[in-house]
Formats: sequence, C-alpha cells, structure tokens
Amino acid sequence: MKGLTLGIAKPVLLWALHFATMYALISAACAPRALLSPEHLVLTAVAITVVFVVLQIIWMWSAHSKGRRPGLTPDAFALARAAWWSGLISLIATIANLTPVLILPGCHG
Amino acid sequence: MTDRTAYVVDLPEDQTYSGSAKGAPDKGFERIWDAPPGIRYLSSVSHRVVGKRFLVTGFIFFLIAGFLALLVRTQLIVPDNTFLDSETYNQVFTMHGTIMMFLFAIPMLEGFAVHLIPLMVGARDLVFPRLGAFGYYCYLFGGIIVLSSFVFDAAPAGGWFMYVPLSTSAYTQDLSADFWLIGITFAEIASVTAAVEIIAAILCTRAPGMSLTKMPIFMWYLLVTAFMIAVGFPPLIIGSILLEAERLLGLPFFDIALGGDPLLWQHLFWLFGHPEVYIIFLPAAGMVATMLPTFVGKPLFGYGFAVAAVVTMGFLSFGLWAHHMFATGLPVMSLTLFSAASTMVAIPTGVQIFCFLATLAQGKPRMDVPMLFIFGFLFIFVLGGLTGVMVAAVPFNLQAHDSYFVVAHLHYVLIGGFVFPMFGALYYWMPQFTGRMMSEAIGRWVFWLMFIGFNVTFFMMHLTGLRGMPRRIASYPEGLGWDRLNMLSSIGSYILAAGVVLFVFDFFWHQRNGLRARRNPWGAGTLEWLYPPIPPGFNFHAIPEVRSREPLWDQPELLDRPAREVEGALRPTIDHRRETMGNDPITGAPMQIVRLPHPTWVPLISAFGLALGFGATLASAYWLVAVGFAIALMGITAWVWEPSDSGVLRDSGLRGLRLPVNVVDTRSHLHIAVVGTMLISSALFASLLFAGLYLWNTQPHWAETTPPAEPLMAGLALVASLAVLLLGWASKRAAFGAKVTPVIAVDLGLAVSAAALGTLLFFSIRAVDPYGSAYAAVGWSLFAFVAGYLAVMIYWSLINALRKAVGAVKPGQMLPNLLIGTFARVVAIMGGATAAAYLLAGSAL
Repeated sequence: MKGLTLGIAKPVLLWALHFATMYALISAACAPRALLSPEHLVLTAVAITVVFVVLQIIWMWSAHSKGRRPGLTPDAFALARAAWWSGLISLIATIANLTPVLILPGCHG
Repeated sequence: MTDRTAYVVDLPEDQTYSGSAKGAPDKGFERIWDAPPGIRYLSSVSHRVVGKRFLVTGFIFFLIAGFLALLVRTQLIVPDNTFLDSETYNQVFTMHGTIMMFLFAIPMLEGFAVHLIPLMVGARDLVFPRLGAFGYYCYLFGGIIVLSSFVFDAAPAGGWFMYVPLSTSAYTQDLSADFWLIGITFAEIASVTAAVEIIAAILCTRAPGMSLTKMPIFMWYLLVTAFMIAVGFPPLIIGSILLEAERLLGLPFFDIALGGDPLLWQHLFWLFGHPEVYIIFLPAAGMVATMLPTFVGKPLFGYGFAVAAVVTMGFLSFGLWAHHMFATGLPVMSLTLFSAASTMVAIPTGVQIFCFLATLAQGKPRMDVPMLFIFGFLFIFVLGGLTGVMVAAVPFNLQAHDSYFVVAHLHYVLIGGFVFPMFGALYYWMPQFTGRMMSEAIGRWVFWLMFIGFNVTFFMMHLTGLRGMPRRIASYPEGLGWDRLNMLSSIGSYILAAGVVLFVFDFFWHQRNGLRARRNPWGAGTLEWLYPPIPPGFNFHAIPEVRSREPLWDQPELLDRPAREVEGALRPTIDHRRETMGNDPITGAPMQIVRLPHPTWVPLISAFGLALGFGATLASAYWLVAVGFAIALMGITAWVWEPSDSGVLRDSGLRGLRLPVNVVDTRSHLHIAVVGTMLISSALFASLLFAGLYLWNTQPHWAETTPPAEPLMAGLALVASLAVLLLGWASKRAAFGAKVTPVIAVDLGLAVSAAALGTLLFFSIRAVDPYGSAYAAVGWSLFAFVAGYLAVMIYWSLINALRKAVGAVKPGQMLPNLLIGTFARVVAIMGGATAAAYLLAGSAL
C-alpha cells in the first residue's frame, strides 16, 4: 500500500525535478553569467529529458501491471489507477518542459 | 515503516506513570470535553471553537474587503470621478486585495478544515489543538495589525503584491509597507501552523479502518493543499523578511545600486502567489466534491482520477509563477517554459471538472441551495479557466497585461473557484454550527443576486480590458468606450453586495427561525453527519470502525441506532483524559492512543507575546520587542514542559486491543508534524538559497567583487554539521531504548555541537560586510537563518536533558529525542549547505 501511495506522487515529483532542471539550464544559458552555450543547453536538456521520460514510462507500466494483479483489493486498485493517471499527466508535462529549448532558436526567440 | 519497536510499559488500568495523570478524575466523559465557561472560553483549544473563530473572523474580513471593493466600484462608476482621491484609492484597492487573499480566503479554508477534519475522519479533536488555537490568535493579531494601518493613516498603497522598488524606504517613507510586511508575515504563521496540523491530523488520527483510499475526497484536497502551503508560503515569508530588513536595517537585497534586483522580489512573491490561487481553489473544489455526491445520491465518479488530478495540480501549480512576470523582460525561452506549464495545468483541472460532470450525469441532482452554488461554481470557474489558458499564451498575455481583462480573469477564478463553493458549503454545513437549517427561499435569492451581480460586474471587465483600460487607475476620461461598461460593472457589484447582505440577514434570521436540523439532514454519506446537529463537543462517544468511503450509506449499523450507542473505539475513559485514536498513516490500522490537551491559556499568551514583539517593531520600541518575544518564549516553554503520557499500554475498546499512549514511532503524529515542520523550514532555506543563486547568476560582477567567506572556518563548520548529523541519528536511536539517564549525554552533545556549528559559521562570514552588496547580505541571511534554528536546537536539547535529570522522563517516554533527532539532521544539512555555499562562493566559481 505504501508503494502504491507513493506511486501517485513519484511521477509528479519527477516532473517537478525536471521542471527545476530545465529552469536552471535555461537560467544558466540565458542570464548575464552565460554558463552554457545554446548548443550545450539543447544537448543537456534533451539528454536529461530522455532519461526522465523513460523513468516516467517505466513507472506508468509498473502502475499498470500492479493494477492488473489478481486478488487486488479495491483500495489498491484505486491507488494503482491514480498512479497511472498521475504518470500520464506527468509524462505529457515533462515533454512540454522540453519544448521551449527545442523550438526556440535562442534565449531571446 | 517503523525501523524498530517502541519501548512500552504494560501497567494495570488503575495505574499511570507519576506525573502523567493530568486528567480530570472528578469529571465524567462528557464534562471532560466541555468548553470552559465565561472568560475562560478564550482558553478553549477545541477544534470546534477554533474552527468557528476562524470562520467568523474570516467572514468579517470578507465583509470589510467587500466594502472596500464597493468603494473602488463607486469611484469608477463614472469618468473623472472625485469620490476618492488617488492616494485613498490606492490604499483601498491595496487593502481590498490584501484582506481578500491573506485574511479571508486562506483563513476561511483553515476554518472549514479545522472544524470538519476531525468530524469527517472520525477523531475527537484535531491532533494539535493548542497549535490550532495559537495559529488563530496569530492570524487575529496579524489581521488587526494590518487593519490598524487605517487608524494611523498609514494603510498600504503599493498593491497587494508590494512590488519593489515602490515599497522600499526610498519610495514609501511612511510605515504603510511595514504594516503590510509585519502584519502579513505574522498572520502567515497561522497558515503554516495549519498546514502542519492538517497534515498530521489527516494522516494520523483517522477512524479505525479508514485507509487513505477510504478517506472522504475532501481530505485528499486538504492534504494536498496543506503540503502546498508548507512549500508555497515560505518564499513569501522569506521575501517579506528580506524586504522588511531592507527597510528597517538598510540591507540592500533589492537595491540595484548594490547588486540587488527588484525582480528577485517578484520571483519570491509569485513563487508563493501563484500556488496561492490553487491553495484557495483546491479546498473549495474539495467541498464541491463532497457536496455533489450528496445531492446526486451517487458516489463521486472517478475517485482515483480525482486524487491523481489533485496531486498533479499540487505540483504543477508551482511551475507557473513566472507567468505573472511575462512583461518583465525575462528571456523568451523562460517565458515559453512557464507558458507550457501554465497550459499543462489545464489538464488535471479538466480531469476534476469532468469527474464532477460525470457525477452529475449519474443521477438527477436535488436543486437545493448548496447545489445552486455548485452550478454557479462550475459555470464561473470554467469560464475563468478558459481565460486562464488565454493569458497563459505569451503573446496574448503581453497584450492583456495589467489590463482589466486580467482583473476579470482572476475574479472569475477566485470568486468562481472559492467564494461560490464557500457559500454553498456554508449553507450545507451550517447545521453543524447552529443546529438549524438556513432558509431555502432566502438562499435562492442570495444565489441569484450573487450570480447575476457577479457576472454583470466581471464579465464586463473582459471587455473594458480588451478596450485597453489599465488596472489600478483611480479615474479615466470619458469617451474612450469604457464609460458604460464601468457603469454596468459598478451596478453589478451593488447587486452582488445585496446578495451577500441578504446572506448575512439569513444567517442571523435562521438562528431564531430556521428549522431545527434532523440527523443527517441532506442524506450525506460522510461521517460528520453521524450525530444530529450539533454534534457533541467530543464528536464521538465511541469512534466507529469505517469500511467504506461513504460510511453512512454503506454501514447500516451507524444510522439504525442513536449515535451515542454506535460501537467503536475508546468508549472507556480510563485516565479521564481527552484522547482519540491514532492510526497508521497509510492503512488506517489503529496504532496508538493520542492524548489531547485540555483548555489552556498558553496559546493565547504565546501569540500575544509575538504580537507585542511584531507590533513594537513598527513603533521602533525595541525594549518592548524583547519583552514580547520573552513572553512568547515563556509561553512556549510552558507548552513543551507538560508531563509526558507516552509509553503506557491501554485498552482501546476495540475487541480487547491494547494500544500504547503517544507511542515512540516514526509514524506517530508528533513525528509526522516534525517532518512537516522541517519541510516548511527546508522551503524557507531553499528560498534563501534561491535568492543567493539568483543574484550570483544575474549580477556576476557583484558576486565576484564581494569578499569571500573565511574558507578554513567554513570547512570546520562543514565538519561540525557532520557532528550534528551523527548526534541527531544517535538521538533518534536512543529514543527507542529503555535507558534514560545515558541519553542526557546525547542531549548535551547536540547542544554543544550546535553551538560549535553556529560559532564556526559566524567566524566564516564575519569579515564580509552585509551592507556592501546584496550578495553579501544574502550570505549573512543564510547565517542568521541557520543560527536561529541552531538556537532552537540548543534550547530544546537542554530542556530534554533537564527533564531527564529531574526524573520527568520514564522509559518509553523519549519521543522528544526521536523528534529532535529528525530536527537536528535537517538543521545539520542546512548548516552544511550554508558552509558549502560559503566555500563555493569564495572559490573560482
């Protein structure tokens, strides 16, 4: 039960971490200190996002299989379903975080 | 979940530890729970009393803020109006926003939470009644400080967001900004204490059998909201303290001439400000999710979907703060990131709305007054959400920025998303407060007046905004196409106000003439309706076992007999104490018996001391500040010195199950509360670190020219933080043991290592001039923050040692060591991070 409950929060925590990372990368590239070049920004952001997306998909698959286990209590089923939906929303949101880095030619558009 | 077994003592029922029998042996069960009469009523800590205080005070603030809104609308009813001068107009709209956001919306939701949580989860009181009472008094005194600014002709006039540099001493030389910063910061103590209380109460004091998935859906909403408060409020608290420090002490956090940045304030403010909208909306949506199934007669559709949506909204809402800053010149790439997140939040919001609609589709709803308000919520909030998606788009946002379109949007979201559900909730739960039903006929008038008045007022503002009318202007020339729209908006506001006035009339009228409410008057499924309104002060004679999400629908044994005869836990009152059941946070299995405090003056005295300290700061009477804080410290010491009840086994009344009282366990309510408190503390610390990193990144010149901290001392501080970490771990381990006296060494070790860490951090930063640059000032703030926590740790450790030395602690009663162990480890990490930041800031980076 503990694992299933945490399963609801895990994907969105991952999204939050990804959002903070994207914000930090963009800030590192676009603030006056200019720690990152635009090319490094894109490469780093894509690499990190791929890792996060894979994790999100694994957790969604895990929630899905837990929800199909035989003899599952209604409580556990409700938690597994909530975890899957939380995973789906977080997956879309994680991909959305990457879009500005991919579609814009530079910090100032 | 727990890592070791707690030490407990199985004493006979007629024996207790010496010093722990602080009950009332001469009183029967019902009298133990009676609220004290006369003036001693102020010492009551019962959730029923405190909840009502929050609701009544919050509603009074709502009426005051509403009156100020009418002044605004009267000023704008015709072009070139001279009803209010510009300065007064600025004060009026600033105070309107401030009161509505800080003194009405959040406290009202706290009031509902404080009152309803124990009734809905099957507890006899909130888990920390004194904390709830303390929070209320902080809120009340903070509100009085803010409101008293009118009396001193120093009402804040810089907008509810207090943007710098307008609110710095250079541009606001009077005390108006100080009233805002000090009063609001003080009132926010109530919010963060409520967050801790809500988290611990929902997780730790549910009825036997009420697992997380059998909780009423409202509890999920409140739980997520409480976590959001814990993370969302700290940036504003830190921002307010930094700004007040700049005004009072001259530290240059936001001074561009010394490497500060006005945008730092906006970041900190909106890191709070945007989640605040969801903090207000989510509990209201939770009320809707609770009321809707009652009127449809079916369970909420998609409980799991709704839970997932609420949890994801809680997180996503933190990624939106900069969409309030689209016009400040942030890099376009950042704008797009925030735009994406702002659009994303529509998905979980939509999931919730579809859950509501699907529930409606399952049956034919009874159109009672609360249901009307639910429809009002759905209609208005969805419109507000749609314009929210519009303003999430950067190009449209830049066009609509600071125009009346935004005013319309935010009122559709906040009034639709909070005020309408709140009025519905007041009609729905009023029998819980007064024992009578409010008038259906008058209620319908209230709804329609409010609904029509609201839409006439605010729908027009979309149009005035699109026609270019900026916000916050005190007058406008005629002939710009704004005249009729403003006239209609003002007329609408009077209609809306008439609805509110009629509600107030109904409130007083029904207390004498309303029908007496019968048991479960709406036919609800949740536990708060088990007793005929008004439920007794102890909520439950015996706490029933729960096997369903709608126990009153699915468990016939609860309603087929008088409520006082319903079977359950804790019917026997062996020790004549106030007590309730403590459970495993996830499964809901009974785990302990939680002892609750009796009425006490301590919360009022402590809050009064703090109010004196904060208020005297405004008057620059610093000796009085010291007196105030000394009173608060004495009050809090008396609070924590109470004899411990933990470690004794008692009969729970559930099939012979014997449970420990206040068990030493990481799942206990006190430990969960400490974890919640440290979450808030970590968010405060992270806000300061964010400020430092932000200035380091955006003002590289100032970061490089600020003298570095002393590296040797910073390195030693890092080592000292490791010592605190290890001793914190040792303290936690010792808490589970049976030997008391040797643990005194751990307590003293914690005090000494904390003192060493504080001293070393001081010597690290001593040579840096805090007035030299904003970056240096943030460095000193980090030290001051950690030093404050270390001081608490030293004081707490010494009290723990003293209590053991005088024999006030028996085996099995070392819960404080478990708590300080967790506290110390987090403080050690903060201290270590500060030392590391000093080292890194002084290195080549």
